[in-house]
Amino acid sequence: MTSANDAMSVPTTETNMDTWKPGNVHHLVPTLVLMCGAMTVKDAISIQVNVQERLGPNVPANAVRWERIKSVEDASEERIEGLLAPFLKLEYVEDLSAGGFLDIPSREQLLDLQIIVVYNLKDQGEAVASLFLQSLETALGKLVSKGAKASLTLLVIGEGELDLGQQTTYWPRFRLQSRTYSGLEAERERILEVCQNLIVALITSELIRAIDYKVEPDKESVGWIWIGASALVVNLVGMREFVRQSIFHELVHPLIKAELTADVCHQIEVRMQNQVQALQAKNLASAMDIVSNYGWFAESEEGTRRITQMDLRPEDELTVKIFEPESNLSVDLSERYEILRRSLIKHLGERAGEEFEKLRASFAFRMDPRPEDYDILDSVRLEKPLLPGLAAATFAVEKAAEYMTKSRDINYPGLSPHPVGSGYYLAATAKLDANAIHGEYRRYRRYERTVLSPQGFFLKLVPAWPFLTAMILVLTDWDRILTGLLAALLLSGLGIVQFIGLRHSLANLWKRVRSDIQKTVRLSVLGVMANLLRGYRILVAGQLREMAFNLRNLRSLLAWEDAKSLRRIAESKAKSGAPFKGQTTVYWLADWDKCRDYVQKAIASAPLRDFHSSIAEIVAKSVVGGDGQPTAESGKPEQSYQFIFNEIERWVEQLTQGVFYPPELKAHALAGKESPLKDGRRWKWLYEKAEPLGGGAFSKSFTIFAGENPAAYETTTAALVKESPYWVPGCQIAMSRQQHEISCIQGVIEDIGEHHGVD
Amino acid sequence: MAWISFVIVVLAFVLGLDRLIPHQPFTVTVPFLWISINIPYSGYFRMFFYTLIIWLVLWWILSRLEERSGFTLLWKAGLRNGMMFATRPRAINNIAVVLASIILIFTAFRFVFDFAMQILTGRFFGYLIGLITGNVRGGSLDYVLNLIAGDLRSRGLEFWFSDPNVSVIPVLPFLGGRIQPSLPAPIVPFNIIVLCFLTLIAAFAFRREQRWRYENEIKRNQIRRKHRQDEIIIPSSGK
Repeated sequence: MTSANDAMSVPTTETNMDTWKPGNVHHLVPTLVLMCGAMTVKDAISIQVNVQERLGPNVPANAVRWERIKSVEDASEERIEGLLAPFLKLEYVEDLSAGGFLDIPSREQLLDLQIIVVYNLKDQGEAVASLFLQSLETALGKLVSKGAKASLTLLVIGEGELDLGQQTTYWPRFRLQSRTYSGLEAERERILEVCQNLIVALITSELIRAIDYKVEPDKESVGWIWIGASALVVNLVGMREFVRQSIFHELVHPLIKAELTADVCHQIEVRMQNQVQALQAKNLASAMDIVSNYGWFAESEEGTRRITQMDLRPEDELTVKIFEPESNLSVDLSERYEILRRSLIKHLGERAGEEFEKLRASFAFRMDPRPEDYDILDSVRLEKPLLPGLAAATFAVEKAAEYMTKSRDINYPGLSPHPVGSGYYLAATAKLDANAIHGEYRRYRRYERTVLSPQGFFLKLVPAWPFLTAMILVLTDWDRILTGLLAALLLSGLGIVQFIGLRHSLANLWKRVRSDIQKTVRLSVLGVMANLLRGYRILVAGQLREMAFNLRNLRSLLAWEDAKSLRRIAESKAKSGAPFKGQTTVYWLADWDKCRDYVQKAIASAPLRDFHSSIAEIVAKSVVGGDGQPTAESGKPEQSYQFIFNEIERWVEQLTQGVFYPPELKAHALAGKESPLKDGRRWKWLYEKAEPLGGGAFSKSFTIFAGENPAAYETTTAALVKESPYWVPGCQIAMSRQQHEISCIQGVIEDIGEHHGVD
Repeated sequence: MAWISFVIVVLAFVLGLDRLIPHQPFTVTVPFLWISINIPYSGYFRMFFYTLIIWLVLWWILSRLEERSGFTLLWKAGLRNGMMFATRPRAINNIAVVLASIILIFTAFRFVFDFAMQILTGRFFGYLIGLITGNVRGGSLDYVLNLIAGDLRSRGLEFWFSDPNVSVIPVLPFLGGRIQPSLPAPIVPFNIIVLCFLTLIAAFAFRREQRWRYENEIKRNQIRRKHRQDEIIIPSSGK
């Protein structure tokens, strides 16, 4: 509340009617504005919104209350008391105090209240209007004795006779109608603007006391005051909006810009490919680790994901069972597959989740220019960050999804992942494997039984011995006994050679059979692994596609918001400038160079890395899915977008608050830069635009300028005021809380009993 | 069991028990002519016949023993697979049959060859004439024949004529024993020839027995499985 503090720094003086003179300090008076009569909702809202916008930081929002009362029935005492009740509570004072306002009501004296009754006379008869205003006056008057003293100001809009009599407590009593003092037709917008100007001056300045000062000592005879008002207003709302939207643009644009070049795309592709490969290699290694704990020697090559070894341990119970298969082998296999599958689901899910978390973090890293704080993959951390943009992140995610979809989990010849992973499928697979193993085993046994046993060798060789002996004897004339021995030796040798050869081929066959059996079981185990890894991969790929979709959506939304912010900037600028067209009575001042300075200052002071990291973190956690598990439930984009926008809004608001300083934007200073208002022309402009709406050739009139603190005003513009040829002689200055606003209020005073209104 | 029986017979032959088997050729005596003729090769057939009988008897006995013991003998001896399925090593599995076949083929070849040689050298005619003429006076023909074939005898062909089964013709007295007309004799001893024939028969029987055993075992298995099956009773629909 810098502006409030600034206001608080103003020295206070005693401000009762007897000692008041121009230049005294204005104390904040809680104000109730009642919209009554034929006031349309649209007009009432227009007045309320515009006045509130203009009140600025020096008037706390809860110091002004608005209400619409249409009829006498609505103007009951209870209702009015209820409307004023918040002002009479201690919480109100404490709220003001907490808001930094020191000119709070004193607890030692009655509370000052200001009630402004805005009454639209259109289509209301005089009798109705009089009755309504008198009833309201009565109801309000009763409240004065209940712990508050209230000033009752009346502003009547519209044509028509209205006489409240001499006893009325409404003071001052302003009137506006649709024809100016000089006889010009006033447009509706002008009437509303004058109304707003007047209400702002009533709330924020010593206008009433200045009027009192001007009409003394004939105050009792003053009837209606036909009023006109104009204002030079620094467009604080517009400028703040300009700064705010510009900061928004500066923050958001880096996120959504960046049309990626081919080189950057290539870099991202390579990194994503490596990262996806690393992810899959880690997942496979994790799966191999898990399998190793369940009786397997399992190894794989990290780069190619090729299975280099996958064999059952010799000491494992299943090894004996598959090499000497029994009828219940399928049950054993099924149990083992199921155990393995459950373990893989449990442990692989955890480890894969960690890997996915790293991948997700790396996507955040794509957007985050602060890589040193991320404990992610070493390879990624050591890389230079890419463009901290959503385009890069989206492209990276899309590429990752593409590589995830295309790649293979396990490189092993003949391996096809199990199409489903249910227990029934595993049982069926186990049966098939058991059949295959039985078949392999049978193959060996069949071959084995076609081989002669040693006894068989003997039986087969014995009959051959006499024949061989006889044959040798036919061909030679050797000794019969020696020949017999030789034949026996030859046959034994042949038998031994054949026996050894057969045993060797049997051993080879057994080796092949064991290998085939191992391969059968291995393929099934790898099938289980591949099924889970593929399922996980497909899930991750799906999540990545959803991420990419969400990121694209987010980028579109941010781009749309960015475009909207640029449009708002243009709209803000369009509102200011010289209002020489039409009958507008408000000149909106603005200093866009100052605003740009504010934006530059904000961006220069902003820890943009923190901002982008913050956004990246939200994107990573919400849009990308930050629960570590690639589940279908992760990521709720609608909420995420809201989180992101909230975060951006928080940053924008924080930065705007840090740089936007209304006390620097004083109306006089800004008016000095506007050529139509330079060199004192502002007084002339204000005077001309503040021509009263209504009135006649009355003898009394006044012109009051409501501006900033006279003390500061004297030092800065005294010379200008006194020496300016455009100065309005005889005008009065009423101190205002509004440093960003200068108002001119002209009044033509109608004495009680006379009426010169325009019908 | 066919082969085991055969092996036992072979072992008996190797041990020399074949001498106990009658193997003399049958002699036919012509009444009123005082002539007795040994039927050529009939000793072979006689010995083969008795050996075959012995083998068959042995086979029958062993088969009965096996039948009573329900294959356990073969299984305990580690011969069950060998007797039913063993085909490897082929060289060992068939070596006896191959050698027997070789011997028989070679013997037959030589027999035919020698027979042809005898025809060519006229011995066979001499023998035939001698056989027909009986007592030819003068000996001129025998003298001529001796002149032609005598050199062959000196070249080591005695072996072919020394077989008692072949020497079916009594020595012609008028030639003084110098020439002994005879049929060609086998190259190997007659007991080997018998064993060779028996080998072929035993091998054939062994193969038939193998097939029988195989089919029989399948039937047994089928019966055993059928007994193991639970009877499935489908309840009536109640209509």
